[in-house]
Parts: sequence; C-alpha cells; structure tokens
Amino acid sequence: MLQNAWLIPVFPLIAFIILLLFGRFLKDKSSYVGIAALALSFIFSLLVLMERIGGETYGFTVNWLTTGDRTISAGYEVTALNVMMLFVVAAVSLLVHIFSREYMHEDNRIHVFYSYLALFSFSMLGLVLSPNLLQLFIFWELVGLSSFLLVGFWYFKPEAAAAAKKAFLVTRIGDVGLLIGLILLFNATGSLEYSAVFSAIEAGAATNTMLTVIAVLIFLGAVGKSAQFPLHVWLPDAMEGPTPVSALIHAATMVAAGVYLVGVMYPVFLASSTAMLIVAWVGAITAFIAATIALVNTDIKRILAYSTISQLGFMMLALGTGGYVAGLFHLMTHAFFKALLFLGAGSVIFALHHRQDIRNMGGLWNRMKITSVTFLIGTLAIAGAPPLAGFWSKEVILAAVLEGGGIVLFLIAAVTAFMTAFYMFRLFFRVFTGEFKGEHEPVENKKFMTVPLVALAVFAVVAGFVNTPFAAGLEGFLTEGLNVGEQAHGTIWLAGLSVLLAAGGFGLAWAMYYKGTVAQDFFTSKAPGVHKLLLNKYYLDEIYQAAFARPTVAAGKFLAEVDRRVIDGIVLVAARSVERSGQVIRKQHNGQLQTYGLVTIIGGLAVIALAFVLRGYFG
Amino acid sequence: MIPNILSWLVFLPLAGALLILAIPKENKNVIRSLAAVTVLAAVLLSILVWISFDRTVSGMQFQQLIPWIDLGFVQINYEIGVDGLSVPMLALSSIVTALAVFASFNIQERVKEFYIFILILLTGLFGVFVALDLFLFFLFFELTLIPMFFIIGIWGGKQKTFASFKYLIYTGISGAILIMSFIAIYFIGMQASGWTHSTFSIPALAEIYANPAAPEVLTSGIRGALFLALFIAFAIKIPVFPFHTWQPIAYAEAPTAATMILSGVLLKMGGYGLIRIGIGVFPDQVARFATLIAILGVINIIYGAVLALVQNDLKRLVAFASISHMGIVLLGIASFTAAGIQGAIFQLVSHGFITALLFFMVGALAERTNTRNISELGGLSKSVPVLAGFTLAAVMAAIGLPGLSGFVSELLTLIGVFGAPADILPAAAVFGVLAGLGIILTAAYLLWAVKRTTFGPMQEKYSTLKDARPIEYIPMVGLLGLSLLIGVYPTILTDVINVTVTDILSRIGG
Repeated sequence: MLQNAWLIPVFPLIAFIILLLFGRFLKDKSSYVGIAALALSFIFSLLVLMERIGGETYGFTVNWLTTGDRTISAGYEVTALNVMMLFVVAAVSLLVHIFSREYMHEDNRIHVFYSYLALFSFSMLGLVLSPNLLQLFIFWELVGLSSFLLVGFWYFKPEAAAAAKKAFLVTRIGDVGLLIGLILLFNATGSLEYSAVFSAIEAGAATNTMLTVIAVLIFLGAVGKSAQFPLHVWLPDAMEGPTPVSALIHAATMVAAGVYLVGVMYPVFLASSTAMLIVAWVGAITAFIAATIALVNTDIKRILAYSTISQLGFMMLALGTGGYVAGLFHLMTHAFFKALLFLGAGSVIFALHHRQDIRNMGGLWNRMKITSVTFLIGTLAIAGAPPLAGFWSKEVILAAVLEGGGIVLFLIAAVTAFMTAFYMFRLFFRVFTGEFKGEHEPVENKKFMTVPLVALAVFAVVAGFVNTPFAAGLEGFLTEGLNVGEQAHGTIWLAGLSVLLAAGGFGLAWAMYYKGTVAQDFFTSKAPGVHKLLLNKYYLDEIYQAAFARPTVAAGKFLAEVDRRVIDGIVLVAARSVERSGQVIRKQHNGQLQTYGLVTIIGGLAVIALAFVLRGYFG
Repeated sequence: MIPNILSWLVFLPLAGALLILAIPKENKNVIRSLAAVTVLAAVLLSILVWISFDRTVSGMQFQQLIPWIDLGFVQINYEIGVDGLSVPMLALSSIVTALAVFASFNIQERVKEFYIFILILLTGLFGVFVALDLFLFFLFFELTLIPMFFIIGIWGGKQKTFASFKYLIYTGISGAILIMSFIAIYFIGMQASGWTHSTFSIPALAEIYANPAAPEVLTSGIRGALFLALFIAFAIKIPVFPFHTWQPIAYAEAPTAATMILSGVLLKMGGYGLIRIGIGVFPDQVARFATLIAILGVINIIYGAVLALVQNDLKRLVAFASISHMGIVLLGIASFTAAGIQGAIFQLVSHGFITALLFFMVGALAERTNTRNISELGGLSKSVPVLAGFTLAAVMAAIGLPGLSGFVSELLTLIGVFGAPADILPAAAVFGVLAGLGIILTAAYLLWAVKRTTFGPMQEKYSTLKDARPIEYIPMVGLLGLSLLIGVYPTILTDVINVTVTDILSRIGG
C-alpha cells in the first residue's frame, strides 16, 4: 500500500482536470466529482496510515533536474509525520468538500469552486508527500495559488480581490526567504533530500552561522504561510473567501504547513540555538498579540482567524522550545477543532443569510441544535477542557515551554491560554445564548452541512487520546528513529493549572456575556486607548502601507519621470529631429525612402569605420 | 536525417516569403494559409533538429562550411552549426513565430506584406542562431532589423512612426557597434594568431583568443575594450539599463504578433550573442566584468519592476516586466557557474514563451475593450472568463509559480548566484537577495494589474464582450502548454543545454 501513496494527491488532481475541462457542463454535479476524489484520497490515506503504523518509512525518487554534478530529485515518501498529516488533510478536506455542496449550491460558479478546492487538496497532499525541500516548496507555492484563487473566488467583490492579492503578496515575502534558504542549504550540502541534508549537517557540511542563516530563512517561509507576526496580516483578510475555504485552508491545513515545515526541517533548527530562540519568541509574540486582538473583534470569522493565528503561534512556541511532538500534536488536534469551529461558523452564517457580526447574533442554541452542540464541543476543545483534544495537546505545549523556554515564555503561554478560553466563550455566548436578533427565523441546516460537523466534533473529542501522559502513542510514533531531543511531559499540577486557566477564561466570559454580572465595558472603559489599539489591530496594516507600499509606489513614480525625462531625453531629441526631417522628405517622396536613407547612413558609417580600421593595419 | 538541415531551416521561411510574393494580394486566405504552412514546416524542422541533436557530444553539430567571400585578406565563410545553446533558440523562434502567425489572422490590411516581413524575420532569426561566422551573424542580425521596422511602422498603433524610428535608431546603433567590434576582433585576432589565421569564424577566434601565438597583442586593455563594445551592442538589444528606452514604446506600438516575436525571440538575440560571442570568445572578460554585469542585471530586475508598478498601459507594464526578467539572464551569466548559465539560457527560452503569452493576452483584451489602460478596465472575468483565466495563468507564469517555466530559471539562476565563486563575484549574496526582492515586486505589480483588470465589479460597457475565439486557443494553449511542459519536466530542456554549459565552463576553467 505504501508504494501506492502517490495516488492520494492524484485523485484530486484528476478531479481538478475534469472540472476544469467539463465543469461548465456538470454544474452543481461538480461537487460529486470532488467528493468522490477526496473520498478515495481519504480511504487511501487511512490504509497508508494503518500500514505505516508499526511499519517502515517508504520512499521513491526520480531525477528531476541536473545542474553541474548535482541533481534534484522528485518523488514521494511515507514517514511517521507525513502519514499523520496525510490523514488529517484528507479527512478535513473530504468533510469540507461535503459541507460545501450545500453551502455553495446557490452559486452558479460552483464548478469553479470545486475545481479550485480539488487543486488545493492536490497541492496540500503533494506538499505533505514530498521527500525533499524543493518539491515541498513547489507544492507550497501551489497551495498559495489555490488559496489566492479561493480567497478571490468572489472576485467581483473589491474586498475579496484585495484580500486575495494581499494573501499572495505577503506570503510571497516569506516564500522568497524560504527559496533562498533552500538554495543556501543546497549549496552547502549538495542535496535537498531531507535525509541527505540531515546527515550532511551532522557531518559538519555547514558552519554554525550558515545553519542559523538557513534555518531563519526557512522559518521566514513558515512565518508567511503560518501567519506569524509580523506577516500575519493577510490571514484575517483572507476571511473574504467562502467559509468552507477558511475552514480547510486558513485554519486546518495550509496555514499549518509552516508548522509542518519547521517539523520536517527540525534537525536544522535543533542545530542552531539562535534559530530555536527566534522560532520560540516569534511564536510567543504571535500567540499573544493575536489573542489580544481576538478579545475585541466582533466578526465571527475574524475572531476565529485571530484564534488560528494565536494557536499557530502556540505550535511554533512549542517547536522553538524543543517540544517537537507537542507542536505537531497540537497541529493535528487544532486542525480538527478549528475546522469544526469554522464550519460551525459557516453553518451559522448560512442560516443567517451571510451575516457575520456577532453583535447582531444570539439565541441560536434552541434554533440550531446540531450546530450549537458541535460548536460548543469545538469551543471546549480549543479552550482546553479535559478530556477533549485541545486539553492534551495544550498541556504538553505548556510542559515543553516551561522546560525548554523558561518562565517568561511560559507566562506568555499561560496568559494566552486564559485569553483563548475567554474570547472563545465570549463568541459562544454572544452567538448561541441570549436573545435572537433578526427577522428571519433561522433553522438547522441540511445533512450535507451537519454531518461534517458531527464527524469533526467526534475528532475534537477523541483526537487527543493518541497522546496522553498514560499512553504517549503519538510521541513514540513520531520520534522513532529521529533525533529530536528529549520531549517534555506534563505533570499533574500543570494539568491543574491548564484547567484553571480554561475555567477562568470561561468564568469571566460567562459573567460578562451570559450572566451580565460584570459589565461588558468593564475593561474597555478603563483602558479606552488599549481598546482602540486592539480594535485597529495594532495599526500594523497602516504601518506597512506607510513604510513599504507607498514609498515603493513613490519611488516608481519618481523613477518613471527620470526614465522619461533624463534617460530617454537625449534619444528623444535625436529621434524627433529624424522624424521631422522624415516628414520633410515624405512630402516629396514616399515614406519608405527615409528608412532606406537611414539604413544607408548606418551602413555607410560601418563602411567608413571599416576603411578606417583597414588603414590602421594596411596603410 | 536531412543533409544540410540547418540551411533548409534558415531559408525555408525566405522561400515561403518568395512564394507569397507571387500571390495576388487579394487572396488573403491563401496568403495566410501559406504563411501558416511555412511556419509549421519550420517548427517541424526545428523540432527535428532538437530530436536529432546528440546530447552527449560537445561542440558544434550539423556543421556546414562554404567559402563565400574571399578578398584575399578578408575571408568570409558561410559557416553554420548548432550546439545546446542554439538548438532551443531555433525551436523557440519557430514556435513563437508560428503562434504569432496564428495570432495575427485578424489582421486585414496589407496582409501580403505583413506575412512576407514575418517570414523574412524568421529567416533572420534562424540565421543568427546558427551562424558561426561573425560576418554572417551580423548579416542575419541586420536582416531582422528591417522587417520589424516596417511591421511597427505600418501596422503599429498611434505613435507607430515615432516608435519604429526609435527602434531603428537604437538597433542601428547596436548593429554599427557590433560590426565595428567584429571587424576589430577579426583584425586583432589575425595579429594575435601571428598572422597565420584570417578568420571570422567564432570557434576559430575563440581558440585564437584563448591561446594566442602573439599574446602581446591581446593586452588586457584591448580585450576589455572589445568585450565592452560587444556588451553594449548586445545590451541595447536585450535591453539593459540605460539602453532600454526604445523598448516600451516599440512593444506598446507594435501589433500583437510583432510584440510577441519582438519580446519572445528578437531580444533573445542579445542574450544569445552575449553568451555565444561574449563568453565564447572572451570568457576571461566575463569573469573580469562579472560584478558590473551582475549590477546591471540587478538594476534591470529592480528598475524594471518598480517602473512596471506605476504603468497604466498594460502593454508598457509587460514591457517593463520584460526588462526586469531579462535581468535574470545577466545575473545568471555573471554568476559564472553551471547553474547560473543554465538558468540564463533557460530564462531565454522560458521568458520567450511567457512574455509572448502575456502580450497575446493583453492584445486580446485590448482588441475587445478598445483600451489598454488599467484604470479603464475591471471585472473582465465576468464577460470573458476564458481570456481572464489564461491571463491569470500567464501572470502566474511570469511571477515564477512553480510548475511553470519561469520558476526553473529563477531557481537555477539563484543557485548559481549564491554559489558564485567569491573571487569572480564578491558579495554574490547581495545580488541574490536583491533578485529575491525583484521576485516579490514582480508579484506586486502583476497581481495589482490582475486585480484592476479581470477582478473587481463588472463594468456595464464590457458586459457584451465575446470570449476567446477558437483560433485564439492555439497561441494560448500552445504557449502556456510549453511553459508548463518545461516547468514540470525541465530536463527536457536542460538535457540539451547541459552539454554546452559544461563545454563553456571547461573553457572558463581552462
């Protein structure tokens, strides 16, 4: 079975090609093509996963490009880490494909939507199967393309068009870093195959400084893709895409690719303590500031987007402090509960006819039972309520940070965990409890939407059990044969603290947004400046506009003037005079004469030059 | 295998042109068909050359040498042949020209002359890419000048006269510098050979300049001056900053088919000449001026990109993009490594397909909307989804999206730049990072353009536009397909290039 793993991304590729060519005729039947392809991918990845557990790593490569005496190969491999990813990506992808059938059925470009979705699934699965960094980069860019296409799916909305461009451009900054990083790695080690790279580094193929530079550049790619500070600004805007897209690409899978990248290249990061420190701090800062913005935002999707950024920061923080398993474990659990929350939000938005402001929501608990219950499960899972998935993964992260990162990073992580529980329950209470606001009475959505919610809710409950302090199965699986250092484990008091933080966040949200015992402007009235700062997302978009975008355009306008007046000026004068003399001649003869004249002049000059040179030698 | 296949290839388009000359100009469809058949035959022949090319042998293949002009002290030979550098250029020329012929079936005025000029142009292009004699090279080089001048001047846009003259003056100067340097190379070569050789043959001159019998003739100053003269002549063609100002207006004013050929193939003569004659005869001087070439390359990349960012005319935007992308070629050459030179050659081919496609798309959109001004466009995805889709694909190719060919050239060039020997290109990393900045800027201006043209709310005046005609699929699918082919499976191209790159590097090393 392992040797058939390459088929997993091929199914959605075939679906993409079919939909690209014949989607127009299939119309809304297109969804079945996509769902069928992803069902096959899911079954295959399940089979591959089962065979790989207790099995061996399998790889296959062919030569792709030869330069000088070095070759770059292409192929696929099945490792412990990537079978886990394959399963997560295929599962979430399949569920989102199913969900979208109902969510998008009124859109007359549904076939285009499904073709893009299939392109994304192909690219993401291909990324995961890649046996070398360049192939990963190739698919990395293709998921970026699919993200661009899907964010901009409603291209006629100016916000969507702008968001798509911004997403592509901001991640592109990170991607160029990654590209340069992999080129330096290639030049240092002579290969881009993961295993060959790691053994070359162990053999001392690169200096410490070089390794730090390479690791930081690779991390830059992860910062862009996984929306880490300071390149996180594209992700909230990407919420302009259809909500199933936000669930699949901008929560569960693509944005986690940066975390996966750091995981895959972990030996390179471990070789540089500076790089590890940078990863940890970028992760911590991201987790913290994104959580603070989520506290005050009022758009259901944007709150979830900032939550995603914050959780991705958590994963980076874990990886940067030596928690290899912790970071990747959280990647997996987060994929399920965040996809659940986003699809739940999609269900709400769909029922409310595309309203997204939580201030205009409320009272959905009795009106949309399945959505409400599954959303509550997702909320509990992300808040870290035991024994749901998020509890287990968050606890090992806290353990790793405390052991490998020290007290400051630990405090940041703890405060962030508290804020997470708070903003998620704030969201939950405002949407599902209280009075319903609006005219049209919402009803629960059809099965195509509720079944994926239930399936994801099951994952959000059970996914954590693969790695508990009682049976650390995932840890053994992921670290077997890998040198990723000693992994930290949770203690009972850490588990207690973790529960306390979640309960505290819940309690405060409950008091403010359910019971009303604490006024909703209790904090904002005391620190209006901070509130404004958070509402404006730390003014980062404005700062980037002023610091980069506008100066570049100004430079362009200035250089365009220089180009026209100075560089072109001299020639302009010459050309105009020729043209004028040409017009004089044209009055007497036909227009072609001037051409011949000019060519003759140039030819004549050449002959004169020839004679001159000849004289020099033979005179 | 056809004997003298290269000569057949070179003169086939000319024969087609002569045939068309005999046909009355009213028979437009006969003329069009004849032109199409001729270019398709040329495509087949050039692919035959590609297939029959022996990828394991270094040096020239399919050589042909006929003594031609003998003035006693001046001998000019009809000497032609191909290596791994010229074979892809032949295929590029024939394919882009063929697709341009299909793209120009909508031209109604003076059809006969148009295709005669296009076919003469193709003979000139083929000639340049197979000539191994400097004088022959120059003749073909000049042969491409005249038809393009007429094409811009007759079938061009509003400022066609001005644009065509600017083109003529610039390329005329380029040609004049070129012939003077060639003559100087010839005589100095004669002297350096100890008066034993009198030749315009590039391989022979390379040998003489590498191992002169009279080394005292070839002082460092003379070598440097000769190389720089050559460099300027080719730099105008590429074009390299600050010799680029003929290009945006020429591209903007030329009809679509001509812009495709001009940007896709014609300016590749500059890059080709720089590698063939510049590196071929003066490898030591390329090493000497590597930093200068790299600086100019980076200026091209950044300057072109920053100017593209503020263009309102789509065609001018693509023209500046082209300047930017040609910087990659210079950078690859300056890196002086296998990967870099591979990247430069790969870029010549890849950019040929991509830029031709971009210009075709711009032409197709402008023909329907009657404007090329970005500020007047918007929402075209709604009325012309197929054209908008191909436009986006072309843009992605130009941005360097992996899977399409632009990425491979950028990758190879950057591998070369970051691996450049420190004694030849100090501070190579700085050039590499600046090139990376260029990659980001490229995404910025192209996505900005897409956002403003095909994305956004549909405008009422564009609601009735007709989407792609069947014949337009030929250039669109053809060019995109080729970019995809060498992007997904680059070995199909590097396989041909590699033996020559190794050859060049061995000469550099020796």
